[in-house]
This record gives sequence, C-alpha cells and structure tokens, in this order.
Amino acid sequence: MKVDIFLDTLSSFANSHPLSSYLIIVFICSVISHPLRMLVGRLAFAIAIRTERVVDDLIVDALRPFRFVYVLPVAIGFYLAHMAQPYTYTAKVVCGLLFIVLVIDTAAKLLNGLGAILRHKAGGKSSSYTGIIDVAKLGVVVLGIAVIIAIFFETSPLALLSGIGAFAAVLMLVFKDTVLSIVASLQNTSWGYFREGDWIAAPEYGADGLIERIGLYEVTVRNWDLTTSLIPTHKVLNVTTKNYRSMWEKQARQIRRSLDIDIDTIRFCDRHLLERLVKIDSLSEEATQQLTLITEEETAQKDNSTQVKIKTNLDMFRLYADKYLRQHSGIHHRKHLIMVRDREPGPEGLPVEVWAFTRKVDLPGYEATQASVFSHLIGVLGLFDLKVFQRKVGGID
Amino acid sequence: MEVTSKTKGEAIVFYINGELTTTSSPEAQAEINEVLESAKCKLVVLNIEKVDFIASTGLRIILALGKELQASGTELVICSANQTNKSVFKMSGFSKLFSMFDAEDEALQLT
Repeated sequence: MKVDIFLDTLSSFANSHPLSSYLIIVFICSVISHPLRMLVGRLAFAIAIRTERVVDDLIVDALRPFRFVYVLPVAIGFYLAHMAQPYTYTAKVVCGLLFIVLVIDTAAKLLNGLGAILRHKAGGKSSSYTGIIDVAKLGVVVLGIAVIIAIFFETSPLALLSGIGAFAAVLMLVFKDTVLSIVASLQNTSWGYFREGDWIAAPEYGADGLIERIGLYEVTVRNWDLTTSLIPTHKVLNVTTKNYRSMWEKQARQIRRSLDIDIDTIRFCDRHLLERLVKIDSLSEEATQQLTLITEEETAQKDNSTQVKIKTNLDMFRLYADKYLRQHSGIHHRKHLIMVRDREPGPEGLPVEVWAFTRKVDLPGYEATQASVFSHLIGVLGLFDLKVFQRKVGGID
Repeated sequence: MEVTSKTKGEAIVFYINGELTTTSSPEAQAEINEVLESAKCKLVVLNIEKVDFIASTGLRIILALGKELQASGTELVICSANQTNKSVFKMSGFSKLFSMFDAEDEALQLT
C-alpha cells in the first residue's frame, strides 16, 4: 500500500517535472556506476587471480579500469531523453557521443587484449597477427570518428565514409604529410613505440637524446649537447636506430669492450705461474688441477699426451675475468649474459671481449662500473704474465 | 624488472623495480622465493614504489606469497604503492587481505 503511494507520487512528479526527473535519474545512475565499476573489477580480478590460466589475466588487464560500466548511465540517458524536453535532441547527441567514445575505448582495449593473447601464444614475441590488430584498432577509431561526425551533421555514417573515400585521392596529395603524421601518431599511441622522455638515437637527423615533445608533425629531441633536433613524426619509426627505454625498464646496460692482448705474451702455464695463481681464491681449484697435469707431464718425461690439456695463461685470465664479473656487485649475475671471449687476432693483438650488463643505467653509474671492471682486469694482467698490446709510436724501442 | 632485497632487523624488504607483467611476475616470484629460502624473518615488506603496472598475474603471485608466508607465521605487507596501484589493490580486494603503508618506515614499525 505504502509502496503504491510512493510509486504514484514518483510517477506524478515525473509527469509534472520530466526534465528534473530525467536529470535525477541520470545523476543516480552515474553515482551508482562507480561502485558498480568497483564490483565488476572485484569480480573480474577474483576470476583472473583464482585461475592459473593466463588468457583471462590478459583480458582483465586489458579491460582495466573497466570504464565500459559507464555505458549504463549513458544508455539510460539516451533512452529516457524524451523526458528531457525541450532538450531531447541535445541529450540524445551527448549520450550518443559518450556511448560511441565508450564503445571505441572498449573495442580498442579488447583488441589490445587479443594482441596480448596472441603475443603470449607466440611465446612473448611479436606475432604476425599484431599488424592486423593494429589495423583493426585504426579502423575502429576511424569508424567511431565517422559516426561522431555523422551525428553532428545529421547524415548517414556510410554516406560520410563513401564521401570521404571520394576525396581520398585529393586528401592524400594535398595533405600527405598530415595524413602520414596522423597515421604514425595513431600507431605510436596504440603501440607506444616511443614516448616523451625516451632516449632515442636517429643519426640521420643528428638526434641522440631525450624526446622532449611528440607533436603531430614533428618530434622534438633534446640532444645531450643541449641542441635540439626535429624529426618528422611519420619518419621517426624509419630513422630511429635505437630506443633506450627498454634499457631503463630492465635496469641493465651492456658492457661490450675488448682488451687487446699482446700475442707475444700468450704461453702455456708453467709451474712458476701456476704456483702464483693457486693463491687466487677463484682460480685455486683450476690452478691445482693444472699443477697436477704438469707433474704428470714431468713424470711422463717425453710423453706429450698431457701437453694439450695444459691451459695457457690467457685461458686462466679468461676464467678469472669470468669469475670476477660473476661476483662484481655492479654487474647483473643471473638475468643477463656474462661472457669473456676471444675475438679474431689481428695486427693489434688478440682482443679479449668482455660482455656483461651493469645494474646502473645512468651514464655516471654505468661508466664507473665499466671503469672499475676494466681497471681491475688491466691491473691483474701482470699476474698472468700478460700484457695489453700498445702500438709504439716514435722513440727508440 | 628487477628485484633487490635488504634485511632490516627482523624484516626483509623487497624492492621491485619495473612492471609486474604476465611475463615478469614469475621471475619476480622466483627471485623472492630464492631469498626467502635462506632467510628467516617475521615480516616481509614489498616496496612497490617503482612499480608502474601490476598485472593480474602479479596480483596472483603476491596472493600466493602472502599465503605461503602466513602458513609459516610471517606477515606480508605492501608499501609505497602509487595511486594507480592503490586503486588496483582496492578494486581487487587486496587492500583488505594485506596491510598497505604509504612509506617503508611505517611498514617496518610492525616488527
């Protein structure tokens, strides 16, 4: 009974004040949408976290922060727009536009999720379908913009698209750079190839520094010498040879540098050298084994069968350098490659290349780590009776 | 993504730097477990100040870690989350499962 009276009261209020009723209903729906979004998010996370499958994780992550829930107040606002007299048309346009924006946003997110699933299935590498997804996202955005324009001009989207098609050739010729820039910007927004603050190198444009601004027509790069380089936006992807962002994200920076060893100093280890090396903790085990081999050789007298097993001082140095890197606090030990290898000998000696990744990626920190590694390795060369090759210039030998 | 750790009294603080994505979260889990295997503590603090994004996989790993630690009588807390991650924790209900602190010092006061 009381409910009937309440409903009758509401009904008569709505009939006598339709605009106010419309605004109240839309407002209530908007307010409810926030806790509804939290509820949807809670359910989505609960499903994703409790299952071991990765596919649902990727879909849930792609849909975050679940803005599609706001379709509820927008849809109600659209269908009850007749109550908003004399602003029915305005209400429908606004709700229609918001609906299209939400649809575009959700469609793009779903396509991102699909792309993530395809990359996951491909083992984390880019798959051939990602290009198709990129085009699909572009298509969704273009279609959405066409519908929005069609609403404003009260025309059919299909008629608009075919009309645009007719002008396409003219547009491409007259606004070629603009169209290319728009496409490049959309691609970049979609896939995040480069962002403001990224360090890129584009030698063709003399750019080596941080991206200061990404505009429609040009990308501004502040070089390390404080000059500025401008790269046309649609050319950035073609001319940029490096983007150092992943280095910052992974917090690892490569050392790849060689020491040129004087080949004349490379020889087989003898007892004297090994007795010196056995005192070094990281080499004591190997040096002891080598001493045993030397003893066997001396015992066998002229039998050279063990000769080939005896290491050279260069082998021992490489072993030492490898172990040194693996305990250096400034070097990544597990996640990134550590390697000390010989390169092809040349007129300037035999290059021993050190390959490792520093924990610090900023320039001073990186250079300090690199310097400490190489100053140490150069310093210990004498222990192995090795020398760095240095070209003699002028003077008397 | 990089995980480092420091022992502070009866607590171990793990500093996660990067994104906890579907790919990097299992690596983070392995590194944290490796440290916890050889260390005993009453409190584990996840400092996620430098974490830009936490995927659902990352949340699952935090949940699994929390359950394992709870079974051994150790508490897991989270500190220094940015606004986006706080919103994710709130939406997923994690803010009710694990104590969250704005700063590491506040979290360490639990020991």
